[in-house]
Amino acid sequence: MPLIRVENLKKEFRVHKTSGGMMNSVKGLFFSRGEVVNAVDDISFGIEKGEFVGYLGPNGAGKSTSIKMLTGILVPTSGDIVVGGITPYRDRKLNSKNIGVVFGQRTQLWWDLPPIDSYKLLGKIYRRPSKEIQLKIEFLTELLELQEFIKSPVRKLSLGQKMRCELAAALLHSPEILYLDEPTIGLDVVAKDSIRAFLTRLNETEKTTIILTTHDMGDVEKLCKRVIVIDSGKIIHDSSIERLRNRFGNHRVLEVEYDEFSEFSLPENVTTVKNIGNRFFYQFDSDKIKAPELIKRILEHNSISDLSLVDVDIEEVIRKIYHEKRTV
Amino acid sequence: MLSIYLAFLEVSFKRQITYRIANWAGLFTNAFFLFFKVALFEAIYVGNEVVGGLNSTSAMAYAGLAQVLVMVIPQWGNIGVGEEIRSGQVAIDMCRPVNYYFLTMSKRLGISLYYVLMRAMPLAALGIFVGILIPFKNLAHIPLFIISVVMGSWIANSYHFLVETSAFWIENARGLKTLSTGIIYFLSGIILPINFFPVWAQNISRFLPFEYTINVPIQIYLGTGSNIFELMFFQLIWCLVMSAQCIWVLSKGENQLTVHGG
Amino acid sequence: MIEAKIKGKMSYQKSYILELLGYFVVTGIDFAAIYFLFESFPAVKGWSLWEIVYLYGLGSSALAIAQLSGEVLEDMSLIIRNGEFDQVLIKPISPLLFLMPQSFRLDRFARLAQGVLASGFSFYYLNIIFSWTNVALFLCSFFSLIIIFISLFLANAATSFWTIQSSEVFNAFTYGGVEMSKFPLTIYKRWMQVLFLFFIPIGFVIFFPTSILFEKENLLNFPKFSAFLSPFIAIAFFGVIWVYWRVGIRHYQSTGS
Repeated sequence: MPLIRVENLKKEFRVHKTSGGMMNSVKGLFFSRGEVVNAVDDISFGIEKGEFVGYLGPNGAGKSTSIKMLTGILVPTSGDIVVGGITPYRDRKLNSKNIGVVFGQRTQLWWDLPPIDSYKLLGKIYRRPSKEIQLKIEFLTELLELQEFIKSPVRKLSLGQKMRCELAAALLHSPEILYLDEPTIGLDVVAKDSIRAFLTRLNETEKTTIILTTHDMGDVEKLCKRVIVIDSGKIIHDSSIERLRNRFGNHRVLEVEYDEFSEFSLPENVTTVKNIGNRFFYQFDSDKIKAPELIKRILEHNSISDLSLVDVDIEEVIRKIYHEKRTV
Repeated sequence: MLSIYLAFLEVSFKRQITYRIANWAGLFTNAFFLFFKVALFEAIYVGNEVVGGLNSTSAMAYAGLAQVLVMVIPQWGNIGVGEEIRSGQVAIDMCRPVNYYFLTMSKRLGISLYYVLMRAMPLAALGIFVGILIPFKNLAHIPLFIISVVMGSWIANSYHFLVETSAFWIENARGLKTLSTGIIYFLSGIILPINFFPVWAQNISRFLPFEYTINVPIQIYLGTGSNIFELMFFQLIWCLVMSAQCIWVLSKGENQLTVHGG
Repeated sequence: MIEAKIKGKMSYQKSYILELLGYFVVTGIDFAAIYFLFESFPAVKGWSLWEIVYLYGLGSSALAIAQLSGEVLEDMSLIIRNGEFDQVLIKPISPLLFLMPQSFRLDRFARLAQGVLASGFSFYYLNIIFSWTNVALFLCSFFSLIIIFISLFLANAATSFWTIQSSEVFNAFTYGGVEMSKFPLTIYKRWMQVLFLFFIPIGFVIFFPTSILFEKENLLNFPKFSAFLSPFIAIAFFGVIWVYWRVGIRHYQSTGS
């Protein structure tokens, strides 16, 4: 039984088109002439406990709308959602106890207060015994390295520090499910790494189910085991991350530095992408020919001083998926 | 030169128009207060007595007119100068070939003009309709009244400007603002006609600018008080005095800014 | 939550004192205005200076307390617009319970203090005896008024779920209501009396208990026990507005922001 189950979920919005001018505004007050937009158009999926899912899609695709329905903020037009055995929008409070949410651009911490005070307040709101919260705060402080600034007011913290505090806040009540909306946006490389390491650990040791919405492909590659792609309200891809890579064939690129290059015929399914002096880049479909085979063939004819192998770029795959969807 | 200021006046006026919905609600509140105040002044008179030069009818007219003018001659509220100084916007304005004080006054007059159309006129119509306000007996008084209102607005806005320039020196001027608003609110005659003040208070008020904001224009309308031209003369004096003060403080403030930074 | 707020506030100390001073002066001005009025006129429809001061005190203190919990609701449209309300919906707590304590502001105590002082002085000067009935009458008005003011703040907030710009209309009733309540209901026109007796029952909960307290004759043809109906009327009023609020939240959940 999946922890999160979504079936034939639909969300329609009535969008008002207001043309300018006084007369039209007055008309607008009396007749809502709107057109119906299918923000989420019949999507279905199931997520098991402990999964780490990337939820991707271009802007306006319906990502945040579906997340809002999952978290109980929005009521669907039709379809079923069941999270942890309950319907989020119907049993909002019960659902809230079990989830943690981090919105990339907004904070649930109180602006003037140090994070530690916010944590205590949140502890009361989630009705956890103070002893438990105390331990949890210590635990998370340790893990996320918050000691230095947990007592400074939030407005004084850097973006990276704020995000770590934000994560801690979302996890205080040990929720089963964590929703993350663009958590690494605007962060420097070091900060991103530490947050990614934390999330991986969280998912592996605590078995927290994590749903990550992001535009950062680095996040997706390093963290997600499964990827769901949504566009124009419909799901256009839902699979493990390996299958995603292989969707358009398992292309890899072999980079070779020759000592001295002498021509030889390339095997089938291998193309030279480019070359700079003695450095050659070969693209091949790993379903059709394996890397060792290609390397063997190269070594038969040449000696080389260096080589490296690059996997297919996720971003490229995603781009192709969007493009494919558009041209279909 | 003048055309620049007029342009700002116009822009400011147009900007106010975009706040449509908020205005209807505000008008509603305003009308409410009008009825409250008028009812009060009706109730305090038992017969036909005259207190401070006002009888029951003229007292009610006073209350009504005060509410009609309350947004045109602003007693309370932020005129934005404090924020502009704090945010550094004033520094940008200083780089333009305009005087920040006159710039602000142009904007404020644009806003006052807006309120003349959207508050004063509807409320005046309401007042006339229910019989509280009587149209002018002497038509020649109308232009004088208008000039008086403009001068009253000028004085009130200058006062607010003066108070808000404290932002050049003080970080949190909320207490000062509350205090200063209370003073003008009381001494302008909007809650209680100056005519109803004890004599000693009236004497003090005469030497302060506040009664020249609202009390005087209303006196002109009612035809009470001394000579119209004398009243308007004093208004003019106060306009000049307040302007001079504002310009002086502004230059001190700008100096502060350039010497000490934001 | 309140403790945390106070901590936050204490950091702005110096300017704070100036603010408090400002409030006290403004109060003094309020009082001066009534005082001057009564220097020139003997009474307002039969009500004397200190009786009016009592009304002032009652209105201000009730409003101050209502603001301590309701003021944040005035910012509702802002909260909705920057997505903060979503944050509220994600918590396992009723939105009202979460939002209200955020209104707590220390400076409201200044106004409260002034209101209480005013009432106190009026009691003294009017030689009111502290009998059970009299205390009950005062509490009836006080308690009911607080509830009505909070309801009006709530109605204002609920309306934000539909219109983008804030609904100043309810402000007219709240602050207008306070203004109106400073003088006896008898001075107003029929239609205004009806409005504040039956629709926004501010007049109801103040006028009757107070008239009995000061032994006034004119009760607008109402029986004496109307005074004690006040709390029930106030609670019923709150109930209606609360439903409106819930409908508003539901609307928000259907249409998003």
